[in-house]
Amino acid sequence: MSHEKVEKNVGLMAALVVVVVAVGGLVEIVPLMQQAEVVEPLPGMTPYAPLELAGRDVYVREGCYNCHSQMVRTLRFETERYGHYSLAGESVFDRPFQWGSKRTGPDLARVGGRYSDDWHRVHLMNPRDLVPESNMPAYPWLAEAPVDGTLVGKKLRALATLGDPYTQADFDSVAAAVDGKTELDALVAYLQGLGRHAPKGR
Amino acid sequence: MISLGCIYSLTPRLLGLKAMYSTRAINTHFWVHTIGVVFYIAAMWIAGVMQGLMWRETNDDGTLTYTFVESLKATYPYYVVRLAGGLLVLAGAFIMAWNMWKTFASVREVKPVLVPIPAQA
Repeated sequence: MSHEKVEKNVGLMAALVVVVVAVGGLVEIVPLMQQAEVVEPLPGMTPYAPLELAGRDVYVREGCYNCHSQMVRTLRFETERYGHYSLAGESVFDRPFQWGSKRTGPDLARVGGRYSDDWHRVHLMNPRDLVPESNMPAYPWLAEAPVDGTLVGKKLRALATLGDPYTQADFDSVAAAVDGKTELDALVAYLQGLGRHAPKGR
Repeated sequence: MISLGCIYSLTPRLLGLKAMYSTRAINTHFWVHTIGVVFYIAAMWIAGVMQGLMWRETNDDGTLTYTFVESLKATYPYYVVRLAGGLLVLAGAFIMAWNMWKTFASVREVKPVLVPIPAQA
């Protein structure tokens, strides 16, 4: 088949393009779906607790990923600044993952446990109170917004349908876990959980 | 900018006119917008390279030279330049709004339709 023939027949070219893209996709994507290190959580990792899950959704809703990545690269100066480089197994319960691509603020993949809960609370209410040079927006409304337990319960069940290993005990614990909590509490819980199961050291 | 050009090109056709109210304003808009974008690109390009270099800068003993917030602080002047560029782009948008308003206003006046008087037809 001459090249001219392909270029002059749009239908034929479209069909051939589909074949090429399909084969390329199969070869590149399907093996990843089976690879253990990509689909299996790190040792000790469990799906998000109800409050953390609610916090994660606040994180997504407020667009935190626009300025904060959660991806420590395998470079000396990155592991020196943030901690152990990111592993695929850390993201298996993330739908979608929050790797991000821009760092107006610092990477958050290893922020869990680095500051106290109170530090995060003050910082989210007004970052300038703690870091005078910060250009991060303040999020005072989170402290006044309650977490909807019914909704969190539904999210847990949806994730269980997708394969996350939640048990009946987890579903039963939702109401008590988020009762009286605000979105600020939830977000702090989520942030404190980031990187908890990553290897220590660099 | 291509979409803005399309609007400038299609609006007169939509209204049955030969051209926009002011072609000079279109040219002004083009240059104000272009200069604004150049400010924007130059500032963010330099700032990005500078941030990258600051993040990877290490001392002789292998520790990091700068904290994250120091790189943010060094970026502020470039953000100001970007603001200037953004204001130029915004100014261009106002020029466009004025031009559109005037163009639409020119067809809003009702043109008399001449109808022959039946008795003389």
